[in-house]
Amino acid sequence: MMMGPKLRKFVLAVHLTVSVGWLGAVAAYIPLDVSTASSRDDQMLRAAYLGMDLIARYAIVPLALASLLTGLVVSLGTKWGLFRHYWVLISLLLTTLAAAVLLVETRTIRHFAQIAAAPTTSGEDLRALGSTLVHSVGGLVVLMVILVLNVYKPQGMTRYGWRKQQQRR
Amino acid sequence: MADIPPYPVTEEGTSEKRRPGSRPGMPRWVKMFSIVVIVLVLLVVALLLFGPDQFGPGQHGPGRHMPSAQAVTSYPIQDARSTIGADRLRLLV
Repeated sequence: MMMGPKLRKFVLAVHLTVSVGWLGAVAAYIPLDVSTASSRDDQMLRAAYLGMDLIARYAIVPLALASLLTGLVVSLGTKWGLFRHYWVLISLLLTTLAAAVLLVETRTIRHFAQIAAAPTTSGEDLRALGSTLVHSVGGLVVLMVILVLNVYKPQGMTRYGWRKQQQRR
Repeated sequence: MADIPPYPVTEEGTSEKRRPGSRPGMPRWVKMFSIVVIVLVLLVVALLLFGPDQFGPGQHGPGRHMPSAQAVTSYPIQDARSTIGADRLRLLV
């Protein structure tokens, strides 16, 4: 079902807001992640792990899910469709992958935070926890790729999109 | 985002010449993108299977970061107001 122009613009505005917000939340998360990889200060490590958990649970995850949902609405409600153009299809796959990895990784982040919050955890144990840098930086790269695809919209229709276009003619 | 694609659907970006009316092939950028993704996936799988201990089998997941089994010493978490950050703030005022 096609959306009217006002509704389409509203949904698009929401989608852009949550998508860029997701990217920004990851950008805020990464400095904390870097500190867990490089710092040897126990206070800093505890604060970083706790901060990472808060950002992940209350910013990154909700924004990621909202981005995925609004992206589906925007695609299905316009003639771009979900499977007709390669840039839309690849954006959908990458967003789904990023969200899935994120949801799995939040278990690790929560686990780190619980250990960091425990008063009996020693400094040595804190430093042994490590970081989630591979996932956070990898996630940022994936989001940047999605952003580029959405801005440049490179040409290319899928087989399904081509058939749909021929049917309309 | 417009209702319809802003670009005409042509064979631009494909590596094949096609007859008018026939379906355009997969664009070159999609082929290159797919190759890059496949290479990255193979790299990650290889790292997980054969990489250093931190990436090796059984080392992926929250369990890999369990604290050591050594006896832990008590580490009281200080009140936030008495942390190093608060001390630095006082110096700046």
